[in-house]
Amino acid sequence: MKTYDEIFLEVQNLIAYNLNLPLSAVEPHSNIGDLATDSIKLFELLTAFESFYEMEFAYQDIADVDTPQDATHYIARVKYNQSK
Amino acid sequence: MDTNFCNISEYLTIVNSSQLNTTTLELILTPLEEHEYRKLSLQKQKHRLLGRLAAKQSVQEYYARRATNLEYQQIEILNNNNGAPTCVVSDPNIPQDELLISISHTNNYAIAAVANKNTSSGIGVDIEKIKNLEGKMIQRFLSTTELEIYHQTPNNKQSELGILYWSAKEAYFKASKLTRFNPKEIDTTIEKIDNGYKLEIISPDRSLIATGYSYVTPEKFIITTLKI
Repeated sequence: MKTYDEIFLEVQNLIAYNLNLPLSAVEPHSNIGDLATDSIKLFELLTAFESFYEMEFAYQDIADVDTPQDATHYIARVKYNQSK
Repeated sequence: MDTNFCNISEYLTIVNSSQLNTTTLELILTPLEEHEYRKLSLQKQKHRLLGRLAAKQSVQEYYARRATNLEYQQIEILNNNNGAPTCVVSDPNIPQDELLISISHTNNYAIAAVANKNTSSGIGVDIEKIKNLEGKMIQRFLSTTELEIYHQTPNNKQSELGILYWSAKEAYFKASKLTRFNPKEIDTTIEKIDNGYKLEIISPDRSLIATGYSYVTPEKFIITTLKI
């Protein structure tokens, strides 16, 4: 079982790598939509998350995932059945 | 980029970043727009400025054809809570809140279109550079029917088709004003016409919900305009 902090670190790295950003640019409350240069990049990030965590983000939930912290909460809840 | 295709729609405007050299931020943006602009990253600032310039030129064109000439400062475009652009025009002879507006940008280009709310309930535009999309991504946003067509398409035409589908769904998402959207649930029919493609967006219950056009520029950009 991964800790919340471990998941956050993975999320932060996935975003930085896929959007070609320094790690420092990806903060817990950064808006992921603002970090991506366009909608295709954002969707590519979604598929990168899904490949890494071997899970599918439900479309009805995606609109609520705005920040790396939201993504971490979502993955912790859906993939690892954790609540925080 | 050849900008002749701007005329594909009465009020569609395309601008490129070189046009920013002939004007200044203070001329384009109102104080409130500039306040919002300053909060953005440098990359987003460039996109925002290009997008606002295209949008304001579309609004100017719309009203110029109705014998009213507007300055950029009389046109204020702010995003609502859902991130969609809304337009307010400061002119006593112009009814407030009568225009729909849609903006898109990619690389060094931005496009924008406006329409009167009396003529359509939603408009969406999109501009995308043609590129290869990964198989996982294709499977994630194409409907079953679209996926079949995509796989029957010759390999050298799949990049264009993939981006055509993407652009149609992106434009529909903007036009529909939905905040939650599953792109797999709508079908896009694409019919080749003389200078581009005619699009129809079909809902899960098989109703026609939007129509539009896509054009491929010589520089391999796809431009899509859609109306609901």
